[in-house]
Amino acid sequence: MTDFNPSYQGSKFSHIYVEERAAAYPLTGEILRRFPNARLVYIKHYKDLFNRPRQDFQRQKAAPKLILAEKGEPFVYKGPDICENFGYEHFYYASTLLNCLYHCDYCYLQGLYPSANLVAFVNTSDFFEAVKKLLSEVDFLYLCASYDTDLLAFEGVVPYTKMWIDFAREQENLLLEVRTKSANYRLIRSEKAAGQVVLSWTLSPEGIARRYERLAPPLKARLEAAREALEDGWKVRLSLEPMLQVKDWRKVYGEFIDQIFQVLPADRLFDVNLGVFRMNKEYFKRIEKSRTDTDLFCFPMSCRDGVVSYEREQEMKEFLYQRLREHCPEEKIYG
Amino acid sequence: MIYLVTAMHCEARPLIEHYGLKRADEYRPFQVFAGEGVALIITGMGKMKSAVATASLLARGNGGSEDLAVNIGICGSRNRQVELATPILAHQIIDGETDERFFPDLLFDHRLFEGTLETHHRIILQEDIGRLRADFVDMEASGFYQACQPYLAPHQIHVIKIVSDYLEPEGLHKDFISSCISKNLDSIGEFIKRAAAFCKNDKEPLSEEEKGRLDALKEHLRLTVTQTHQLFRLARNYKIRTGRSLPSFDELMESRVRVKEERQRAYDRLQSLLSGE
Repeated sequence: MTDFNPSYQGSKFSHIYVEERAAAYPLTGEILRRFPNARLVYIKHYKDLFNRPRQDFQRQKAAPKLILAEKGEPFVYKGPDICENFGYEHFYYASTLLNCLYHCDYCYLQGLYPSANLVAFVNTSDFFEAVKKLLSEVDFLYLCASYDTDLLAFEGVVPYTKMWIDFAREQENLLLEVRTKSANYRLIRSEKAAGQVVLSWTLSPEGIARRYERLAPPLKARLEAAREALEDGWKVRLSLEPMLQVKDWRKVYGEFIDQIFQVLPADRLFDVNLGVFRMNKEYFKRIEKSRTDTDLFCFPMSCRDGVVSYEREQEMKEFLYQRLREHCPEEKIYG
Repeated sequence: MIYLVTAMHCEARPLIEHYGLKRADEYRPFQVFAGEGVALIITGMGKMKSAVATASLLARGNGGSEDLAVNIGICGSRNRQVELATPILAHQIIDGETDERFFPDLLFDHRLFEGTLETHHRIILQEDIGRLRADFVDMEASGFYQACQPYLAPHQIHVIKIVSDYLEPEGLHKDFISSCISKNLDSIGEFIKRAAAFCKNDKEPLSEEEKGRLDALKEHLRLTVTQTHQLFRLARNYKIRTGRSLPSFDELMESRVRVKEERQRAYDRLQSLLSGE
């Protein structure tokens, strides 16, 4: 209940909050062993902590805490219309982890969640059982496992990506997407490529990554990780979003496309999707108020059907699409 | 503003002296002592009294984003390994009656011991140990925390309790209670200093002088509530986007606004001034 050592906790995961019912899971023990100096606080339910009123997301983001919890139903959710479904009728997502280690200025999680703390669910077998049940009800399932988070970035704390890959390998009618900005590919490199899994790297021009994607690896490192994955036989998707309206955006994104295909062979990519910055209006309003350290929310935007984006959204999208078409066939480009 | 909340006068006395606080009669019927940027309230014992007095104090200031509230007092410990007079910073507060949980956000470095604190409406004795969920027990924290919640964020609410006994509180003398606080004034003071600094909002893009100019402009142009809200939003975004001071509004301050159409024209001009690079 109490730790009598003096604390110095302005750092990441200085405190680990453990739900009483999550304490007995083997995964909880494995995670706690990785943080021998963390202060443990046993709690009743993760929502008592995660859903507190008036939390300061930005202040928490500088020193996030880890919460280990047991997820209750539902374990899988239907994918929302705002997201690309890549032509799959049954598009679902599962969140074994809430929140993300990275701190991208444009991230909608800042508006979605009341807290910046990370919640790691330890009852992974319940997720897998729920997906199996869903697989028995549909002819083919497209499932995003790294949806409101970046699982590969968190692989050093909880090997969720490996767990999902091992699960997917045993299923027949499943395509599992693991989306990431991480360069942690080495942590799953011992895994044999699985046809049921697509590893998807979100890429941004180097200047944008440096300025707006705090804590995420540079473009070069992401490209290298994607190249290694391709070499190892994985299905690799590139996700070129969100496209941002920065100064000289045509030049910036034109050079970006060239840089990508100097490293990656276009003909071996599974597919590519693109998208211009867009966000649910309510999230946008909430984030705009709390972010005084980025100019991202200060440019002219328009709102259509509850979604905020640039006034030049279509022009930007068309530009990126045409540049991509110089390298990829039409049927491999989504967005 | 730093709000200090104690249950008893003997807990408050060392703090009143430390911060040089003076009795403030305008808070009657509550006992409040105030000084430069600090107000201390003596609530009486029990979570209900603590909640009522704390809410009353915070309601006057309406809870600013830079405010800090700290409940300071004594607690019992069921763990005899913890020395008497040890200050405990609560990282979880359990309401003993409802089992509700409250969590102050501990986001900055500090050097206090931490623990889970359980608040009961009556004195808890050795014979009650089997029913406790926490190592430390008090009578106010859960009421104090709940009273703060409508006004303050979790990083602005803290509870520090000094171990005064091992669930054998009979015979605790007032002087002993005061000495528990006095002995720890340095560490309590240091924590409060860091917590208050952490609550400071140094990222507000608009300076006080600029806010004053915008207020004057709002009055002069007779802007509506919505237009005023938009004006401040545009001005804030202009500063973040360009990194420059606000442009001159002299031309608008010299214009005359008598009818709605003139106000709209002035507002459109204002928008164009603040939308530029």
